[in-house]
Amino acid sequence: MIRQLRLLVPLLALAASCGDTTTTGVGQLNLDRPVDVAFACYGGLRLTNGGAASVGQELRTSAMPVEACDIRSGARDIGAPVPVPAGQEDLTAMGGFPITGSVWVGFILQSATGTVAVAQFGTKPSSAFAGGDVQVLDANALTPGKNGISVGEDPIAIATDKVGCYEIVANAGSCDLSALDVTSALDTNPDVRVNRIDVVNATGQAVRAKPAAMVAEPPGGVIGKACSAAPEGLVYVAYPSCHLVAAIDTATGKIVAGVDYASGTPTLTDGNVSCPAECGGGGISTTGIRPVTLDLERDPRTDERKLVIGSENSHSITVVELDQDSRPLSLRQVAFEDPSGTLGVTNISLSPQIGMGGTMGVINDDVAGGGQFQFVYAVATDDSVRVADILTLNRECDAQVDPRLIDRESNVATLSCFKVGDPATPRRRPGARGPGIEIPSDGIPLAVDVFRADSIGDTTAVPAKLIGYFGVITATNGGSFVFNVDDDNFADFKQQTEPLDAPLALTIAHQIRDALPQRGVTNRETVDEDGIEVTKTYCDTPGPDPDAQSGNIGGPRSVSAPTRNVPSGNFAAEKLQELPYIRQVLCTGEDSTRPVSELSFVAPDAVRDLEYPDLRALRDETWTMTWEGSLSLDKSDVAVDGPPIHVGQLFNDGGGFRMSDPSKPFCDVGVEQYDILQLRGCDPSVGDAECPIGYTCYVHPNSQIPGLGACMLVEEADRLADACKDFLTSTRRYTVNRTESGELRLLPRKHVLPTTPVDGCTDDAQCESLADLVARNLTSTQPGVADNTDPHTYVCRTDTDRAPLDGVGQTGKRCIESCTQTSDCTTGRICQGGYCMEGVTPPQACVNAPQRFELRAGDAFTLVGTRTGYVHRTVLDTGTGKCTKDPNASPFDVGRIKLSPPACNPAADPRTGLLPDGVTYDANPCALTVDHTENVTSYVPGTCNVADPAVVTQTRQAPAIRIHTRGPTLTLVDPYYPGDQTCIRDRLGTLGKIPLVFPGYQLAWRQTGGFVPLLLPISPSFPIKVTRGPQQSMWIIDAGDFLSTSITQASTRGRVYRVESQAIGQVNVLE
Amino acid sequence: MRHVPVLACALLTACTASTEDVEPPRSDLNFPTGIAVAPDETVAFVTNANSDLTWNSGSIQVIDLNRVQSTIADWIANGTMPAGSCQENGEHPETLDCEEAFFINGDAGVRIGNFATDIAVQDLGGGNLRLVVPTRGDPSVAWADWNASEGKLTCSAETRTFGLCDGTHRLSYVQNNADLPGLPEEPFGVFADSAGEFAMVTHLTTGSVTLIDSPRNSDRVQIADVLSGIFAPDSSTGIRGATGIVGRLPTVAGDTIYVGSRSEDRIQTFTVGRPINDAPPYMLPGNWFFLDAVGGNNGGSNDTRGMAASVDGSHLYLVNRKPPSIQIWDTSIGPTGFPRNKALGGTDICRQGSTVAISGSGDAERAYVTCFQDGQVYAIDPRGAVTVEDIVLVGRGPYAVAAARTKNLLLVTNFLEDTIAVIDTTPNVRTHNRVVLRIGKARTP
Repeated sequence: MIRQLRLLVPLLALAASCGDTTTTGVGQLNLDRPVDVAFACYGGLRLTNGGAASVGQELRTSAMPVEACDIRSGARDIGAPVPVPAGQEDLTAMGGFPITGSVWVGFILQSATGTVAVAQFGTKPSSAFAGGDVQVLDANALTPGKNGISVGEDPIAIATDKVGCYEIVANAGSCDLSALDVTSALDTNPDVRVNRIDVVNATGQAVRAKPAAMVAEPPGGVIGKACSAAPEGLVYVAYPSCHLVAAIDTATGKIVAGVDYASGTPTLTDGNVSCPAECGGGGISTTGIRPVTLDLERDPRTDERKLVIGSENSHSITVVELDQDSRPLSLRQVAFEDPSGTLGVTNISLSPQIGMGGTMGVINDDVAGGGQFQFVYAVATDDSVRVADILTLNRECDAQVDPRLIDRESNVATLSCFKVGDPATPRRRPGARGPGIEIPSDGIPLAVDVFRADSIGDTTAVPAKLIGYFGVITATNGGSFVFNVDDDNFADFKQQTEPLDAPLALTIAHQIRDALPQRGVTNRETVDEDGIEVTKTYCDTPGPDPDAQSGNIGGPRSVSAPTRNVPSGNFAAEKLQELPYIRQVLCTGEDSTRPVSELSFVAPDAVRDLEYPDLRALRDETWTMTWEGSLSLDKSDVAVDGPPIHVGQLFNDGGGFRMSDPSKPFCDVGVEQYDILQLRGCDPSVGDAECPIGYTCYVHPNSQIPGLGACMLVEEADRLADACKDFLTSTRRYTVNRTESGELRLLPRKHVLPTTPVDGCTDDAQCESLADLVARNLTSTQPGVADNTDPHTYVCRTDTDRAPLDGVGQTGKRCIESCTQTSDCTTGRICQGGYCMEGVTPPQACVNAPQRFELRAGDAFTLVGTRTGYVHRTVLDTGTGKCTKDPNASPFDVGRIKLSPPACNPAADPRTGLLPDGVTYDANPCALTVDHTENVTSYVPGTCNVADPAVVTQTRQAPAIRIHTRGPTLTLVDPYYPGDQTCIRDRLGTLGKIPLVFPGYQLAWRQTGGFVPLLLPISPSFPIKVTRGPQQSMWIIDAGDFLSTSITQASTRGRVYRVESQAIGQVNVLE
Repeated sequence: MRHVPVLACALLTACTASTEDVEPPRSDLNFPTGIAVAPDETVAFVTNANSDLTWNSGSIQVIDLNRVQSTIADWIANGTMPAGSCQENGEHPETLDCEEAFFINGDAGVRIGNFATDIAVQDLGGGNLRLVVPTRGDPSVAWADWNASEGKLTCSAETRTFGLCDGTHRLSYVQNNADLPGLPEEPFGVFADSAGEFAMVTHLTTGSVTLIDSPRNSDRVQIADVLSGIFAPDSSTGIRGATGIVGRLPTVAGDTIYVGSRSEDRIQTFTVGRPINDAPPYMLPGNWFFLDAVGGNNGGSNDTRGMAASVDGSHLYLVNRKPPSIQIWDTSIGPTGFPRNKALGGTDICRQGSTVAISGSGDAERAYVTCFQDGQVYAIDPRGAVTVEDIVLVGRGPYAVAAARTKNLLLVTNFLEDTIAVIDTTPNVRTHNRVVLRIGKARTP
């Protein structure tokens, strides 16, 4: 023994703390912007040179190959002796000196300071880690605080050399490498040996390019052999400005091989390379492919070695086959889909070869039925993580195939990699940016790596229990998202007999893992009755409480039946059920038999399965379906589809009557021709606060519209009162006639009777009758005796300013309120040209102020989720400058529902709307007839007296509209109503298809059980890297500052987390 | 060379300093805050805040950038320096320390109010410029016109050089009408839109945004509109604050202006409308978006400070203090004709980041962030994963930063030491991202 090991005491302490469940305290901050970590093994070593052990051999405390610590960390039973490498056995019984154990040492690279912090943890199985296991050491005991070791300028990567004796550091600030002698960093001698290694080409010329990434060849070496005076083995270093990945002999710094991108296509090269001198040499950088990320793996089962390379400005990754000395043998490329021509890769990870499939709770690579795959995961500049199989397919895999299109796919090999560009690969889910894995948040992926999670302990299949292969994607928002590679503890595909049990997000590869447990929970339970298992169904339950303190469980569902929100004064309460609603189905249960919403927890499994076809597309949010609803509903804490009140300028000049917004939001909002622009003026109750300085919120004395003023210049308001009277006293509602991104051409809007038949009116008398219907719907009087009439006049005319009614069977006419003077019209409407107008074209002088306005769908429901927003297919036609429909948009991108859509094709797949040709889709939305179950009032025959029982449940064939959205599939029933004959809701009227909806009528429901991503239980600020550590532990490097606002918590300058892959709740924190 | 007449007199009773005695020196830096480079890069303008009130006013000074460039070129190439004005820095041999007077044209500047915070340049055409400077002292917004042919600033009717801006050039009330509301407190950031002929000013403690109408061919510059209540108050302090402000494309009329906040994790956009009845313009609030892409606990970055746009308007750079980060947003026009406003990337930076400037374009585009507390400038490579390319020590209290792109120079005001550090941004050279020139002698702490 030539050195005292100052780690001995900590070693013993570590051993004693195995059962400690506390996390590392923050007594002292140790880290400063860590960016990378590498691992070494250090401890007592018998110098056997790989031979058998004997008593007389020298013992020293030294760095050694990491395999030594791997062996000592192997899984074992409690109380079982610690396994030791061959030659390192305890020979004290034979008279030898005791040999101390070994510890893992983590070298944490800190870029800003150019230092390495040193941490250690015991050689014990992953299952023995319980928090408080990893500790940061002090590299300089003579200096206060925990100190790191200075290694270089702007270091960007660290890796352990082949034999575990040196840490190699790539320095971007000095364009060289540093070699840190591991033993010198850990022994008691205060002198730490750090050597600079100048990188040279084959002829010895200096290569002074800035490195961007570095990996070392797989660990090797002989346990029992003393460390050399120089590092051993190769490192691969990416030099983006040199368009080169160089294999560098760490002993000499000489480039011995490489991959050269200078020609635009990667080629294998020897060491005869040259690079621009970036560290002060005045070299001229050239354009070209910039490799920036590397991964190198030796497959533990096949012993094959591969290097994968990603470039920040190339959509192709390079796969390099390596020989047993880790030198390049051959290379190939895999291209990622790149329609924009701008795709690049910023981080890359290579999985081992994996046998895909398996459900038994054990890793079964050698016998898996899905076949062998080896995946590359690449963080791409489209903010996704791209996937490719490089074992056999050599193709990119599509991680965004729409699950509703592979609902019945059970071939695990197919499910493991849908080949991008293959005609057999189904369409992507709507909204997917590309084929890559997308994280369900606003964060941007930073890094990715893959882990093997062994079957240890309880194997109950819950989301947080990982058995198989899984990846972690870290993101700029601090999230560490777990995704599936090969889950060997869960179904491999959807189980058709239990469709809710195995959502694809939990089953197939390359999907962000879902975190909510018990997705398959239903309203049924199996009980033992006298030894017989009986399944019972319950209908009076809303399902699991989504707000429970223990957290939500279960599948997607509405928390309660959709509510009807009715603006007051529009409809009698007794008649509300005549209005459109979401389909109800019959639930027959032990507790009750009743109609339930198709969206609810108690709907039959098959119905729920169809309603929620893609779990990944579902969020916990509130949906609203609003007649003539707003297209933009952003709030003070939400930004998805624009502000509810826009502000623009109105012009009425030679360019026509138009609303202008220089920010050009109109195509983005999704406004369409015949939509409604509602001017919101200003609210006089807040004075002039909503007007610019110098303007006043003017309310015309004749205006009867409450709360609607207009901003006008103070000195002009009174003078313009007469000229602007019609404008100022109207409701100021206009029809959008032409849509451009920055301008909407407007038309004055005639008032049309809302009960105009969906196929148009036939004559004036019909209109008068329907106007009376509106009046009667305001009261609870039975239809047979109601005699309310509308005092206004309606005529059946063509309104050229609204969408034409020119379909088959449509009359082309609407019931329009007519007049000879304004007093003939309903309040807020102005008589012009014989019609009552909701808005008139104002003189320019009336509208010089900024105009606040809403955009609403015309003659349609808007479907808006509080997190999803209003979804539409509108884009800008750059040729015409007009807003138009994107022909390539997903058929599921639907946010508005008109009352008379095309009929559904009965041959279409009810889950997808896909027609039998397998290519085209049915109309969406589309009209059909469905069974609808409801409670109706029972009348004594021949009367409108309520019978006993007062309410009966009945199922009827109801007109309906089916809507496939990105998320739920909905069925809206009773979009129109035939009218009643004698009693309320007897449906015996003969009025035809009469819409009863009115502006503001809204259905609303809270959707819960949406997709919740599984995140590692850590809180980094900026997790710049995730990497695999000993025993498949997950190491997350947090380079970001945490600024505490609590006196009990310290602000930090970065952290490092160790998470056990087989038990992700076990976390060690260094900070 | 520094004088302390006001403080000196304060120690003596009955000492009356003449106006000239307390006039700020024409060629000395004095708590420099804002800095801006003329579009043709012949000159740079720096505001002096006079933060210790040594003098009776702040000032705007004019730096000859051609002289800066040639001095640096000679220094780097030959190691030569102007005799009597410069000397090699003792600690950093690549740095040349020079007297301000060698670069500052003392007669070209003007005097303004105290506590100037920022400066923006409006291009009036023909090389003529208009400078807009918020000053916290009054509070007011000063403006001065740069006459390219005369090579001097003017902001008053008087003919004397280094004159004090008159009332016309000091905007304190809406429409310059004392009966109308005054400029809100703590004017902070400023942006000038050459094509739109306006400037906008943010307010640090009220969250207000002020619009200044600045017609190109007229002296009728005035505060046209003030919007308040734009941002939610900070949950702990109750203070609202608007901070950074930048236009996506200031040379294109009608384009979008982005405003950040110290109290909320939200960016608010604006455009400006001009009524056709010759009434003053007004602001049109537009969409907003949240800074949810960066920061632990699912994003929620706030305390936005500096903001800058790439030359083509496709990228927006934001400096945030919570967490300390720079964020890059895609502001290119999307398929709907509207800016995408989507996060592209970000990285951790120093605490107390202040302002950001963009140097280069395309592949060479870099963002430079000043770190007031650490005396550093962070160089950010926005490509790929967004990385910190360099950390440059520049001096004490670096605040504002401006790039002379074609000259490969970056100018940084060191507020706490009265200097301007000039960084060489020429790629790959020995002095790349190093301070090669320090203008002014560092004040002793």
